[in-house]
Amino acid sequence: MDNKINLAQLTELFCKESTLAKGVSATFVKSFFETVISEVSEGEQVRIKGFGTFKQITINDRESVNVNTGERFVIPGHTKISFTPDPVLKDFINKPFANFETVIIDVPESDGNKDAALVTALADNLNEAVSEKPLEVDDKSKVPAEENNCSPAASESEPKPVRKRMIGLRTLMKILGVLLTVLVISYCIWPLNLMHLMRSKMDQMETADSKVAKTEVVRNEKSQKVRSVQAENGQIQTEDGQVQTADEQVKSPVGQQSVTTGLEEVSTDQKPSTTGQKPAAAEQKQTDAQSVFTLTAADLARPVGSFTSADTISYRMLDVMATHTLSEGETLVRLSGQYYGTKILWPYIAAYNGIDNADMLHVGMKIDIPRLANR
Amino acid sequence: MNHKEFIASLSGKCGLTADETDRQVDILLSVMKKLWADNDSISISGFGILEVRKKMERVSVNPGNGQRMLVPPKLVLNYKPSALLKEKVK
Repeated sequence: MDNKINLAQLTELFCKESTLAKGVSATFVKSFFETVISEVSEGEQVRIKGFGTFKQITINDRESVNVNTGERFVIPGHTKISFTPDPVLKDFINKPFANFETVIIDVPESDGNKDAALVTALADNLNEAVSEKPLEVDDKSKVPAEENNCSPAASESEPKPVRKRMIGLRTLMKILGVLLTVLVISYCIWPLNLMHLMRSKMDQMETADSKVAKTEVVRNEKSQKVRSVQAENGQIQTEDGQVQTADEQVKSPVGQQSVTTGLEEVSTDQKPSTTGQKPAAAEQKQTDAQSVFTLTAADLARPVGSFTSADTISYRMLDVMATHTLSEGETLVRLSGQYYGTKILWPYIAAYNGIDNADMLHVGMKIDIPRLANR
Repeated sequence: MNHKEFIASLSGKCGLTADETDRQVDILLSVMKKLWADNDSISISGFGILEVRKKMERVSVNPGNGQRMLVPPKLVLNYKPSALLKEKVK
């Protein structure tokens, strides 16, 4: 048990089993390893049935950072010897543990798991936003001439394409008369949507006059969209053609959306204004912003799903879940991953054990792992 | 170098027939297996150390769907080449 067997001892044991004479068996065992050594050092691959494969593998150059000085340096590439045991031998070695199988943990037993789920959910949302972008491009190609002017403004705020589509979608639903569905869906999405709207509106108000003109074009395009949807359903207000051909934006109607929250109704009014006159445009802007602003305030009172992100969540430390004795190469980050399933909770372990400097741990240290609970 | 070539080379060095060498290699391997089963390590000077190491169980996370899995502990055969051989290869 736990002995180190050298060549002489191995030969002795081999001699007992083998039919060979002592002298021959000694040369046999010796040359067995010598053959492997000579072949491998010449760069040859040696495969022995029932044992495994010895071969040289090349390690590429890689850059590393000196942790003390922060200096970058290159670790030169080299070759080293690798040994891959034969599957048969592998199974034989692992025989005592062969009955174990990988267990899938799908029950969220620790809060770390929730965080992971949240992160993936956030990532999904992001993906959705990204996949929405091609649609925006399509829209642009459809609307000619004046669209080119507003493209920089459109790219200013990212969530715009998503919002545009949401408004279009909701109007469509309303027109179709599925009032109940609209109620349910907008109850969930509307507050968030309005918050975005309000924020971008306020930004726009503060920007210079030149930008005001630009954003107006954006709004025009939005109202166009809404109206074009109405056009399909016969509720048209004739000015469609004018908007499409609006030459140099001399007279372009500005769509104003007013939403009455109680009934969840979206009605689109039109107020023509001359964009050439800056003060008038600014005034229009203010009334616009105000109408939206009051809406938001009313809607803000509604309960919005509480947000938590992985790095802002906080836990209470209850009692000792386990005590871990540090061995070489272990870090608090690693312990966190081992016990909580996520690396980001290591500060709790540090705090619980009164560790100020997580880089100054020594082997054999006893670390108490606290049980965490949601605050 | 595959198994056949290895046996041929070894039989040449020991003055045995290929069949006989093959059998002896099997015996040698079974002797070594017995040692590893007893948790002994085999250390050959100029070659290196062949020993059994225990890998602890761990929780692995599938980055695709965030599913967590408990990977069981296992025993693996580890080969650490001797410093001499390492230098030679380098």
